[in-house]
Amino acid sequence: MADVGSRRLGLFYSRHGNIALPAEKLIQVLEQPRLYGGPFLPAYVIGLVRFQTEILPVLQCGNQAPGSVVEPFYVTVCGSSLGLVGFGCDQVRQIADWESGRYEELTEPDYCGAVGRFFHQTETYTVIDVDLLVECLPE
Amino acid sequence: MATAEQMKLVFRLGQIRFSLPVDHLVEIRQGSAGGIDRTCQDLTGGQLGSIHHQDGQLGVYDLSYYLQLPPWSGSGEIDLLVLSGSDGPWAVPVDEVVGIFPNEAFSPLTTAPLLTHICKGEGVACEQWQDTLLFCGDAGQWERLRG
Repeated sequence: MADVGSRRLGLFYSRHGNIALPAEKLIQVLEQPRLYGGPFLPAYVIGLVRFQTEILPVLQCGNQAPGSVVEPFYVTVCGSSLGLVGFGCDQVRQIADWESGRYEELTEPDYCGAVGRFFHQTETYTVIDVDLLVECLPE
Repeated sequence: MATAEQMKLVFRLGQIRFSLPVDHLVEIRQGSAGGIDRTCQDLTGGQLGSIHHQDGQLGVYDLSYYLQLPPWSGSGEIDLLVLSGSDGPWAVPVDEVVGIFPNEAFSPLTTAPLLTHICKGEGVACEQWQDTLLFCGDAGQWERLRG
């Protein structure tokens, strides 16, 4: 099993691809936050969000054609080795134990930071190693 | 009375709002987009053209180009910020000049380290003004980006 530092996963539905984030990385889920554009933002950042007194980038994980990203209903704020980061999603499903589903490690990840698939009930979620993902992001 | 060092200009470029210390500003000019002389236009370098200024010509540049934002597409009546520069003033068109406000009206915000990491090392500073997020402008940084 991949070591993402957690025995539980936060499960999130997104029209661009479901994601599972280690529960220990989750800080807060923001409902319909205001997203801002800004200078120097690469295409994989869908906007900036204010969380308390900090401005952080919001990433859209999953597979989508460029320009097809729709503003997410929720932004999940996570901690990472490079500070706070947000993930856009459309629904917050639940916090699930590893044992409640089946995990498969990815041998050919869709993107850096995607480490496995978690099959839970009828859905499949891409498991994200948040620290690995942020460290892979190009400067 | 507040001095220029104690005031900031708030303006909008596209959908994004910026603040700029007033002492980085030479003047705000109103004119028309059609008044920009396009004979020296160099869109690959971000230069939109030039305007008459005092006894000479002043370069007009698309700030959006240097900040990696969608290209400026203003038309009709426009506002031009004439900025101070190390080799003389230069101008950038903006979509809206909101106003000039004392520094106390702005509250600094911190930016996540990841944001600095992914913004190619360019400083991205933000502050709160009323209920709006502003990006802190710096004419010196913009001039350096212009090259």
